[in-house]
Amino acid sequence: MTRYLCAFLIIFFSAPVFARPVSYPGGWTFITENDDDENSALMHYTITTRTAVGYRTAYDRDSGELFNGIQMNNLIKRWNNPGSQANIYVESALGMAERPEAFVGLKTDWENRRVMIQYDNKMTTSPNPDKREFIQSAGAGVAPHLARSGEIQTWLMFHVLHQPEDTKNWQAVPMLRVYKNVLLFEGGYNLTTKTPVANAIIRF
Amino acid sequence: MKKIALIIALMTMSPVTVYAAQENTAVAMSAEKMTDNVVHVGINGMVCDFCAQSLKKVFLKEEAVSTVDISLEDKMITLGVKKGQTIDDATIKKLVLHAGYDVSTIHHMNETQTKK
Repeated sequence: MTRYLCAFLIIFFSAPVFARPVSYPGGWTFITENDDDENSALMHYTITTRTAVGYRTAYDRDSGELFNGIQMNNLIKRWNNPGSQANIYVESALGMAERPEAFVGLKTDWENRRVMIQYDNKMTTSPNPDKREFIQSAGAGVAPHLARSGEIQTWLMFHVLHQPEDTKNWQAVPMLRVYKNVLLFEGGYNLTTKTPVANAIIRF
Repeated sequence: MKKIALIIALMTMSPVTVYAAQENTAVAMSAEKMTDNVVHVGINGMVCDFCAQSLKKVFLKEEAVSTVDISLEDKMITLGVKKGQTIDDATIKKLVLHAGYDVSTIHHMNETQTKK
């Protein structure tokens, strides 16, 4: 039992998410993303409908370095339609690992209650050439059932990651997303690297 | 052994269910007493419960609002307005926009219309 609990905690707190980098003004959001590359945690506060600022900490599994810094998420454009929503966000962060590090990325999504598609990218730069990277991902999901507000909603997702500099530059990740009220959990398995992925969001 | 487990489970869950039902009824009754008017607000962009919870939190901070009910199927929130208080269309639109969504329709209904 203790082994399973430890394994769960390692996966949960050691393993990328998903949309909604900006909440409602005055709202706090905690996000953790865990995969074979990185374990990260972000706590952000939404200042305006378009801007959230937060503190990010991330452990790089390859280098063993811990990044700590400030992250800013900006909603660039949102389309609110009767049965769907689409968003374009820019995420950026600046902080320190062993040397200064920064990243900027684009997040886009479209969803209705049944289907979801996403495209994200992220470019990291640092004086350390090993830490410079570009990664992009595309994903699609379907909801097998439509839950009412307050009920558990599930999504079956499939993500494809592309990292040009990596030896395994194309990776496939099927995922199961579950959420209820202000809690979201996403678990999956990277078929290329054969490692688990676990993400979670809590909104306050 | 299975029978004993089943009896224990039923005994444990029954009071919880009864209590929950009583609590829901009490909440509904108190909301009914507190509410004079009801406003149905159609929302564009409300596609998930995360969106809905944001709207709920924003509206519950408003002094005049006592309850917020959400229908993801109808893309609509229903506001219970406290007795003797009102909430105008401009305020509703501002709050929905503030939460990051758009208003499609607003229908105000008073107590008489609601009972019909």
